Amino acid sequence: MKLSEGQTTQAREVVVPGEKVADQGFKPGEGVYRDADGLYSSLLGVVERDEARSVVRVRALRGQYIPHPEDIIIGKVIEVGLTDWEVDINSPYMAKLDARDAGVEVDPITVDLRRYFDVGDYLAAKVVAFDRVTPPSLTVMGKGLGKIRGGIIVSVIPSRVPRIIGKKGSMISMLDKMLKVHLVVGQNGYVVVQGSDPDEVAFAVSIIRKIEAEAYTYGLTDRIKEILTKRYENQNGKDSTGVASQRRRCKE
Amino acid sequence: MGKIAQESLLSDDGVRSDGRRIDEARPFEVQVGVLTQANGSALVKQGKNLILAGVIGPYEAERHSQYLDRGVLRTRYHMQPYSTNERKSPTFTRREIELSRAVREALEPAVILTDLPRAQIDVFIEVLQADGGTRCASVNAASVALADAGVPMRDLVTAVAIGKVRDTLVVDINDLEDENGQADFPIAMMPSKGKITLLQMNGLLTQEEIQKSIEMARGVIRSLYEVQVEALKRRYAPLAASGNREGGSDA
Repeated sequence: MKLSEGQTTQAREVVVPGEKVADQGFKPGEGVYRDADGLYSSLLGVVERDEARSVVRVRALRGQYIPHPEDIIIGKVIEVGLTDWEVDINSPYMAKLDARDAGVEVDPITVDLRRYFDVGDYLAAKVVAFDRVTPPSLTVMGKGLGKIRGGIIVSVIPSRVPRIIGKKGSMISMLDKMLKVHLVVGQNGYVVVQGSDPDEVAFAVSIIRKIEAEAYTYGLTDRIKEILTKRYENQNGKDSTGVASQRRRCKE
Repeated sequence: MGKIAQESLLSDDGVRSDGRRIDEARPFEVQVGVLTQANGSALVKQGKNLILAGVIGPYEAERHSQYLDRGVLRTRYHMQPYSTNERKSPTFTRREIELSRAVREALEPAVILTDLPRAQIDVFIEVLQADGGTRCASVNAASVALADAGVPMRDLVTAVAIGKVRDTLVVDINDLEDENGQADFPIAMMPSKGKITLLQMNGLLTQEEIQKSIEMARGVIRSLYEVQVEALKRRYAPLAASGNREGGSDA
């Protein structure tokens, strides 16, 4: 784990706060700050160098979710107000969902917001804006957003969520296709797993846990694909004749 | 106060009461992420000092204590009743309140609080066993715990106490040297920036001795810093290394 002098590498190197990650000429991305003679990491994380855009960023290995506009998150309603809901989004900052962003006519006299979302309800929502001074604002207007009915929630380390989604959604689209459950992934580290077969749900949870544990390794998508293929191949073998699975057992 | 003779703290051939040379720091060990419920944690052994630091946060601060443009760092330094050779009352003493503040002021320049407006970060430091220089060991534990919690920082913070016994400067003083020596001079730095974040002194030093102490501290801090970095990487490198086709790490 040595910093190769001035060279740019593809290896995922772990850096600590204060460690130099690039010379001048690169632009500081997330988790990187500029000092007199270069760019330094401000986080405990892994370095990512985007040569094309000459940006260096450090992806946190630990830490909490900081809201960004356009993020899809899973939140829990903790308070119902007259014109808005207060939502816990697993972040240092409590979020606000305004009634208008839930498509509700604001009239505190005739409308009880509890009819729509009550305390304890989980929501899939999108971050509209966050300036760090006022609470992040959410919306539930959009495809796939709104109250979550049924399923279980898996809590993962927020900085590892991008891995569950994958490059351009490669991982999540594979999971969607192969797993026999419905997944809703929140950028804030909550993943909703919905399915009718408890075995399938348990398997999906184990896959999510595996992705979380091995988030910073190479070839993860391929390895996960292998596991999924193996499981569903086995099941098919058993279902059809039983001969295939018997033969497989002999080999082992 | 029955002080021990200076001669017994440093022999004629430059050996200290615990067998160390004047420029030799005590064995230093750091363990990262020892607590599962805290957001970040570290256990530090510095000589016979045993110090646990746990971090909670960042979380949204209470309205009356929040700032709109920056986060708030809180530290609590506490000694266990069994940490010293005479029972210490478990309640906070004046000294502990002061040290809580000293440790916070040593850490504050390194933490990028402007990235965390309205938030609060709490660092809880428990001295499980004390052997002189606990404030420095506490800073060493707390800065690693903060990094472990994913708090944005400019650098880690590393500290060491320089002391004077028998008119000679010695590094990383233990309890005996602290109590019977001529000076106790704790220094904290951001090691890769070379900037000092804490400077306190108890006793008497000449101007030249202060200059020399700072230079001695720089060297020791560099080596302690390497242990801190190594501990953080040892804890997290396996995550990035398993399945890494560029070859594994040395951890």
